[in-house]
Amino acid sequence: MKRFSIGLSFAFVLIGLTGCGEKASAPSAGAAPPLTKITVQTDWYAQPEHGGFYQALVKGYYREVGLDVTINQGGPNAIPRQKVATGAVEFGVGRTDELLVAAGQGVPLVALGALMQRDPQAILFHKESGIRNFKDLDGRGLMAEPGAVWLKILEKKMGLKMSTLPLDYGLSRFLADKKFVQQCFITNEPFYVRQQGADAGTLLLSDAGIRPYRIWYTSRSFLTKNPAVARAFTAASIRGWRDYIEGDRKEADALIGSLNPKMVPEFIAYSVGVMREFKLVEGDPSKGERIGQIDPVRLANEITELTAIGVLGRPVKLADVWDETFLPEDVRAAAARK
Amino acid sequence: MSTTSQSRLAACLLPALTAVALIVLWYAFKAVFRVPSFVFPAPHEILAAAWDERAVLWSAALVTVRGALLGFTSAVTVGFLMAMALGFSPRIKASFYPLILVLQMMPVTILAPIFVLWLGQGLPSIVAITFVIGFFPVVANTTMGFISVDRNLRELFVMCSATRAQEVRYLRIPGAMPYFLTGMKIAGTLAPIGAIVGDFLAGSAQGGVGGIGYMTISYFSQLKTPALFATGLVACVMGFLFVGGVNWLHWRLLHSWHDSMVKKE
Repeated sequence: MKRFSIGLSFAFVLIGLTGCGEKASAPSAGAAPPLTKITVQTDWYAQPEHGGFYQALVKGYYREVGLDVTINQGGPNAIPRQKVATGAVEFGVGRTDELLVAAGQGVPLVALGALMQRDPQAILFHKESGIRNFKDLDGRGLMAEPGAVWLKILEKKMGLKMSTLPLDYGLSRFLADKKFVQQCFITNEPFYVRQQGADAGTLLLSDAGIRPYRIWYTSRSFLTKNPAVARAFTAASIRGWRDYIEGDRKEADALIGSLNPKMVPEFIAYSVGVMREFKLVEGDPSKGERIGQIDPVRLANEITELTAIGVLGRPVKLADVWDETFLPEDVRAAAARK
Repeated sequence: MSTTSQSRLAACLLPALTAVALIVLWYAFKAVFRVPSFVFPAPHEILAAAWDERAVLWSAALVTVRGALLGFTSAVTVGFLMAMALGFSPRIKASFYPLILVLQMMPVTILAPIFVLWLGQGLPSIVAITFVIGFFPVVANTTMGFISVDRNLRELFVMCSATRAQEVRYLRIPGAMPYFLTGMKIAGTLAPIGAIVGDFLAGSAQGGVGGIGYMTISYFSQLKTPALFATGLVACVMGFLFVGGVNWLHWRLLHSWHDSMVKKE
């Protein structure tokens, strides 16, 4: 049996991927066009870091633009990129670096908009460990997602030598060992470890210049066949995110809490508080950053950087992964800079 | 052509033909259903990925083989001694054997995080996981060997007033050998699997290169599916080496005397 348990999860992935056929989008005809059914695959369980999508859902912003949206909660094996690429779902949530890596492997995915201008990905450590900055990570063990691009950047660009341990998506080892270092979201794990009495510190990866966008994306083939759906989903999602950060979140938070019981009100308040404090969603308005925006210059820089550290299998061009015309005009970087 | 060489030819030819047929089917399946390579790569893409990643895969294989070998050796040693103790007295067996069976039911995937918590990340945990996966088949089989000694032979030893030590040395241990080796074969098949599972949960990587299990997750998250399949290929080779090694030992120890190895007269 043990032999199977390893292979099984991959087997399921294969079955799941090959088993899913083309999904027809609902035809739009007549005066009251029927809603187009689409599914979004997030990268984790329902949480405030996906708040804008839930806001757009409960406030009816998706329905207003003719979309019947289902949000699939993610988890450790959510594989949004694979699901979007094979057409099992229409939209996925992730990071630009993941999208570029996929493009480098010949998987055609296109970024549509950014849910976060700054990635909340960070390093979590005990203050007793003596870690003050990224250089202090040199020679230590770090529990992180194997194959993560930011790990390679820390190793190759900053010259850090670390032994990486595969992520177990838990905090028990961190709490048991004062020397333990692991990856985290500044919007998430620090709350739980401080609740357990640990004096935890964080290093935000974006402070080390690792600045992928958190994005939603679709496949090239879906985009070609359904440009209007992609545009509508993008506009409504941006509206949802603006409203989630600035407006009344009560209904969306209630939905998140019912889908994921770990999301108690105190946690959500903490998480949204951190998002606001670090301007993760809206970015820096003085630099022209806006909710939803993807700046082609910044994305092109990211491509250059990832090419230089050698994580892209084959050359990736900006046009492979990005089409500005799907962003509402006022959000685009060029408009914001004016 | 004699019948033996004919059957030998068939034994080589038939699997080769089946393999060719399967590879043809593989390509046909990919072409007909247009399955993209990141879902299901073609055989040549897997071989190309194995070649491109050869340096990484080689060091990953070494890491995993080290864990598997250490775990396997300790499982076999401790398992044999444990079985000897169990076979020595019915009381000891009655006291411990059922508990060992209960422990055997505990899936290694559940034990793995516990070992990591106790022993920390890295080789000790991986060896412990490999040990657990191989220990039980050795104990169960070898114990059976120790207690199922031919009654006539035992009475012969009693008649010759052999000491207890002599009985163990000249009767029980040789009698248990075939059973022990069967347990060892099972443990040998499981050892690389144990080390890879261990690597999944307890492995650690220097500069992004860990054992085979670690590389599996890494390739998976980077959508390097052909390389992911290539790790399967490496694991296969590793399994063959382990089982081949045990088979060789089996032959070494038994071919001169045991019924299963002696050619029919």
